[in-house]
Amino acid sequence: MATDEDAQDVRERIVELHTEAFGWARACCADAPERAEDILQEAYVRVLDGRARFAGGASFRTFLFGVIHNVAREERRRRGAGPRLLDLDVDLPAASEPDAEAEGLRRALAALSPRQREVVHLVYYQGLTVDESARVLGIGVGSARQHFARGKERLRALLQGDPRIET
Amino acid sequence: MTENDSDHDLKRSFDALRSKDRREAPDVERMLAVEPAASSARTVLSRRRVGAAAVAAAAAATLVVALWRPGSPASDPRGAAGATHEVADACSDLLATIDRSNSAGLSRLLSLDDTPLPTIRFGL
Repeated sequence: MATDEDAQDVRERIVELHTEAFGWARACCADAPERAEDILQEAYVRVLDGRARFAGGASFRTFLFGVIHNVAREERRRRGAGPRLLDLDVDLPAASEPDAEAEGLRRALAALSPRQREVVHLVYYQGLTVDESARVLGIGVGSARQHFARGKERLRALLQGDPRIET
Repeated sequence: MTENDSDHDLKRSFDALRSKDRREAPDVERMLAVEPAASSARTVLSRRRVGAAAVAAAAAATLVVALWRPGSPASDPRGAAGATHEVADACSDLLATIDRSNSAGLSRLLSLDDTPLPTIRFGL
């Protein structure tokens, strides 16, 4: 049974990881970014009330990100959201101003498949290894490597305005 | 552009995205202060639907059992009123049992008020 100290410890860890977790929640629901906050909050609640329990083994961050990913996936299923079609006319702004650059990247990421986007985000944004990313997503390392390589390639092509994008 | 240049640009873009997210992140204390079940109206709604469906299924099962039981007044056309009472009593007993096992959640579920429900446990 969890003690008050345990609960406080979990709470502190969540606070430490909050901004990264928010970025991850946004990446998990790129097709409905307005849902990111709700998804993140539901994940926190599951961790705090014990429905999702950290059993050690992996890092707490890997665990928390896994919970966020599961919540986002369930939410997507409930909404009945299908796979996104690649928008070849994605209009990327000139990467001069940081915010414009960030928005350009976000839109390019949204054009990737969910798996590609998630692995690329975890590696480049969160600084996880491909192995850790595989653990967060609950997929094999080989599969994660493939998604990472293809996602990176497509992302570069999108950012450079290359129309020959592999679908 | 070389592979290294491209990788460098990608990292810089992710840095910009990280900074932007950091600025736009909601207040964590506010998020942690919210009652668990109030976090998602949709989740609450879905739990409520599941709970209502379970209660309806249990009541229907009780009705069938009461009507098919050997010696039930329902087998006698003249005992229809008695059967109705028996079924009503059985349903009432069943609901009382469910209610005892999950008093807070089910009472609120049946009263259909808008108070968010906690996780529903069916302790039949």
